Amino acid sequence: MEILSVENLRVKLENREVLRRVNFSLKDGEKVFITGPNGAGKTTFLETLMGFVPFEGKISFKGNELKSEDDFSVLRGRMGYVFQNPDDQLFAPTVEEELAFAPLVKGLKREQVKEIVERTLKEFEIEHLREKPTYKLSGGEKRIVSVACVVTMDPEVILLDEPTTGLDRNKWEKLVEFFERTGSSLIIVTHDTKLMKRLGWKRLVMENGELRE
Amino acid sequence: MDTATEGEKVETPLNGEGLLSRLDPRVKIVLFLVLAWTVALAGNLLQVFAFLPLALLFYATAYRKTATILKLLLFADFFLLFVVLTQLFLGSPYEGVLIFFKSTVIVLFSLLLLTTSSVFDLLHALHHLKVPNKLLQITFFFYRYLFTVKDQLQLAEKSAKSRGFIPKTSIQTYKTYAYFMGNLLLKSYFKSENVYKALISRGFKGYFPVFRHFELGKLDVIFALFTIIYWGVAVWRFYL
Ligand SMILES: Nc1ncnc2c1ncn2[C@@H]1O[C@H](COP(=O)(O)OP(=O)(O)OP(=O)(O)O)[C@@H](O)[C@H]1O
Ligand SMILES: [Mg+2]
Repeated sequence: MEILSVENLRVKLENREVLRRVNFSLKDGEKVFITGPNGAGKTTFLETLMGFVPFEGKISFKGNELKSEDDFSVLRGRMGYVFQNPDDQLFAPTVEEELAFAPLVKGLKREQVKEIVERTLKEFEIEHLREKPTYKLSGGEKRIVSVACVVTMDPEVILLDEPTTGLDRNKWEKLVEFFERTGSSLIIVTHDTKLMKRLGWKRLVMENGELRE
Repeated sequence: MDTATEGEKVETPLNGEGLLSRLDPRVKIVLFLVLAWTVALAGNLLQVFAFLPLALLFYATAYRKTATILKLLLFADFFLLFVVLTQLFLGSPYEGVLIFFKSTVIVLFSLLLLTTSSVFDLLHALHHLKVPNKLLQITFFFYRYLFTVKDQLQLAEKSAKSRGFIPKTSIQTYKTYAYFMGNLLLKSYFKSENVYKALISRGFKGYFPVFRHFELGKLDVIFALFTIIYWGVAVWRFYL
C-alpha cells in the first residue's frame, strides 16, 4: 500500500524554482535513498513533505491529500523528520528530555514514556549522555541524539537528512543496524556511498530540482 | 549610490526604493539631523507645517511604498496617541497636537532619509561621521543577530512541530515554550562564542574592513543644496 505520494510538486523560493514537477511515491515499509549535488533541492523536498514550505501540486499520505496546516500537523505526529543540522533540531535542556518530548506530546503515560526513553538510549548506546545538556554534546553525539529523538515518536515514516555525517565507526554501525531493523518507511538523503552500498535500497537522484531514478 | 547587496536590502523597510536610496547615507544622516532638530524646536504648528511640503516631496520619491510608510507611521502615531491624550487631560490640547505633528513629520523624515539605506550602509556612514567604532559594532551585531535569534526560534518550533507538537493551552505547551526560551539563551551564548572564534580566526582586529566605499556624487550635492536652501528659507520665514 502506498503510504506517501507526491504528484507534480513544485516549489518556488524567492522567485526561483527549487523543485520542478517532482513525482514520487513510497510504499508502506519501503526504504529509499535520495542523493544529488549540493543545492539540488533535497532538503527543500523533505521540508515540503513536512508542510514547512508552500508548494504547488499534490502530496498525499495514505491516500488523503494534505492541503492545510491542520492536515500537516496531524501528519507530523506520524512522520518524523531528522534535520540536516542537528543543532537546529535539539532544543530541550537534556538528552533525556529531548527523547521524552515526542511521546509526552503524544499524551503517553509517564511510565510508558520512561520505558521508551530507556529503550532508545540503550538502542543507540547513549545511556551515558542521558543527563547531558544537548548544547554540550559533540558533533557526532548531537547527530545520533537528533535521530533518537525522532525514533521515540515511533513514526510510520522517517525522513532523514544526511544522518550519517560525522559519525564514528561505532555510531555509524548502530545507526545502520537501526535502518535495517526498523519497520518504519525511510527516506534517507545522503552522500554516504558506503551506506548506500551496504543497504542496497533504491536510489533516487535529485538534480536541479528534478527527481529521477 | 548603491552599495547594498541583495541580502541587506531586506533589512530596512524602504531600502532600495526610489531616488533617496541612491544618495550617500552620510549626506542623508546629516540632513536628517538638521531637519529633525529644527522641527523638534518648533514652537507652533506653522513652524512644523513649514517642513511638511519637504517631507511630502521626499515621500513622493518613494510613493510606491505608500502602504509600508503608512503602516510604520500609524505604528508610531499609535504610541503618540497616548502622549496627546495625556496632554489633553493636562489641559494643554495645543501642546498635544503640536507634539503629534512634530513627531509625525520627524518620523516621516527618518523613514525617507534613513530607512532608504541598508543598516550596514548607515553604520558605515556613521563611522565616517566619527561615531565611535565600538558603538557601531555593537549595533551591527545586535541587528545582525536579531534575525538569527528569530530564525533559531522558528527552527525550534519547526523541530517541535515535526515531532507532533501542536500549541494549545496546556502545561506541555508552556513547558515547550520554556524550553525554546532557555535553548535560545544558551544557544545565543554559545553561538556568540563561536562567532568570536570565527572572527578572530580570520584576523578580526576590532574593526570591519569595508569593501565598497562611498563616493559623493553630483546627485548628492544637488540634493544637499536643495534641502539646505529649503531649510534656510523655512527657518528665515517661519522661525526668525
Ligand atoms: N529559505 C530559502 N530561501 C531561498 N532559497 C533557498 C532557501 N533554502 C534553500 N534555498 C535554495 O534552494 C536550493 C536547494 O536547497 P536545498 O537546501 O534543498 O539543497 P540540498 O539538495 O539539500 O543541498 P545540500 O546537499 O547542500 O544539503 C539551493 O539553491 C538553495 O540556495
Ligand atoms: Mg540539504
